[in-house]
Order: sequence, then C-alpha cells, then structure tokens
Amino acid sequence: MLKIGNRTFQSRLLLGTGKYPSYEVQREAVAVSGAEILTFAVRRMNVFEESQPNLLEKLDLTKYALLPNTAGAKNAEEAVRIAKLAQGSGLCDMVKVEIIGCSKTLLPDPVETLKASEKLLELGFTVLPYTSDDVVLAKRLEELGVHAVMPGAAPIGSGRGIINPLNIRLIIEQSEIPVIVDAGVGSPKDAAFAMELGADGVLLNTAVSNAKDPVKMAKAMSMAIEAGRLGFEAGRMDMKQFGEASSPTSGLVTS
Amino acid sequence: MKIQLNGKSTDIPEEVVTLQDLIVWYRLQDRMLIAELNREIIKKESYQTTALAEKDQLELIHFVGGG
Repeated sequence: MLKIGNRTFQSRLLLGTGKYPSYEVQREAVAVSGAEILTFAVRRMNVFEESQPNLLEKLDLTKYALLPNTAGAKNAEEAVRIAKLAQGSGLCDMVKVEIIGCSKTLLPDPVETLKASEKLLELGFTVLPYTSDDVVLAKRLEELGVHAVMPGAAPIGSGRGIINPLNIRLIIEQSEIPVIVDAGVGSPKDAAFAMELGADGVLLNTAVSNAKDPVKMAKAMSMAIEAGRLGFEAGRMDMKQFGEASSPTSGLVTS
Repeated sequence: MKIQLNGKSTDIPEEVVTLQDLIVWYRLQDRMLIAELNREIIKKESYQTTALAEKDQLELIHFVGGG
C-alpha cells in the first residue's frame, strides 16, 4: 500500500497523461495500468479557436487522484501560481512541483524546487517535488515536510532508465517518506529495477505513451512494478563470485 | 471593452458584463475550467457576480495531458 499524505493507494504506478496517440488509446492505457494517481499539466484554454476535447471530460474523475504538475514554471513563484490555479479546479490538493532549470536536459532547478515546496507546504498543499537524484537535496526536502520525494531516474522523456542506482538507493535508505522514481524510465525492466531498489512507486508517462502499443505497455509497467515490489519485499539472494550447484552434490549416480 | 484574455488583448461585446457572461459567450459553460482575474482565482459561485472591467487580466485555465 502506498501512503501519500492522508491518502492510501493500492497501485504503485503513477501515470502521466501526455503525448498519447489518441484519447481512446489513452483511456484504455489508463484503465489497464491500474494507476490510481494521474498527472496533468495546467495550461491556458484555447478560447479563440474551436475547442479540443478535454482529457478530464473523458475520464471518470471519481476513480482517480489528480496530481497536477507545475511544468512550465521557471521559478518558485510561477510554480506556486500554477499550483494555486490547479487547486482552483476544486478537484485536487496534491501538486507535483516541477521547475525546470535547464531547457536542454530538462533537469530540475534544485533551489527553486526547495523554495516552492516550502511555500506550498505553508499553503497546505500535499507536496510531491520532482527532483534530481541528489541525496542531500532529497533529505532537505524531507526535512521541509514534503509528502513524498520524486527523484528522476534520467532526464524527462529520455527513456534511459536509472542512471545512478547508487544515489536512488541512498535516497530510499535515508527516507522516511515515500520515494517515487519519476522521469526517465524507458522499459518495464527500469520500473522493476526502481522497485527492487526499494522505491515506493514509479511515475512515468512517455514510456507508455510513446510505446508502439501503449495499452500493452501500460499493462507491462503495472506488472513490472508489482514484480519489482514483491522482489524487494521478498529479499533477493546474495550474489556470489562462483557457481553453486542447485542439485545435491551427494548420491551422484556417476561416482 | 478591452480586456487581456489569456495574454491576448481582446474586445468583448457590450452584452458581456460578468465573468459568467464571458464564459457563456465563448461557450465554455460546460467545460472544466479555472478562472483567474487579475491574479485572483474566482470561485465558480462568484462568476455571476464578478463584473468585468476595462484592462482586466483574465486567464481561463484547464488541465491538459502532462507527466
């Protein structure tokens, strides 16, 4: 069970809603993923042209916890404004703090992320900051009182998997709040690996939406996250230098 | 009357007096939206009583797909 703030979730997969080939594929992918938390972005409506169908109108919102992100914010002030706008919908009290500090790598700005998280906590939000895999920053965010910390596996949308498993493991080991590996996951193997390291959840988007078959990939991710979690809870065997027979070495018929 | 709507200078017709009028004018009354007027979020129950004024800065916001 994943506990964030005062809410609990059965699924440890948090799914993004961007870049799907169609609303139908998206709806189906969301359904089979089993995700209970969906992320969104906050944008101006295109009031001057014929309106596009809004994703939220295509989903049964009562089934999901909505996690709006502050993507597009370049500093803490903008992130707080976006979070307030999202809350103004009356549909959510959680926010994913996402403040990009580098337009090429899309890596998060640690200083502004820390500032925004502090302010949003003061305002009573349930705060989930997306951060780099910096161990000390994760600790500092936890000390502020954030409700989960979300270190990136690799740059957003890169699909490179966990680049620094040591850092992710150190963040998990020191943390008393949920650690959700967010961004950079490319394949089910990456998601399972994050969970085997002890992550409490995985947030991904492009790995599903840009798969050749997003619906099938949504299912695969869901299974990988469950398998990885079970593997972590089961506790893996020790690695050994050399071979060790699985069959008995006594009573051999050939001796 | 001219207001700044979603960052764009926009002429609005005389019959549009309140925020609710404007939302209906753009046929957005059935859409999930968030209204921010001069940096203040306006609650839905106040749309009807919120009068628009010259040079107002209005943002009509919604959720879109994102990660």
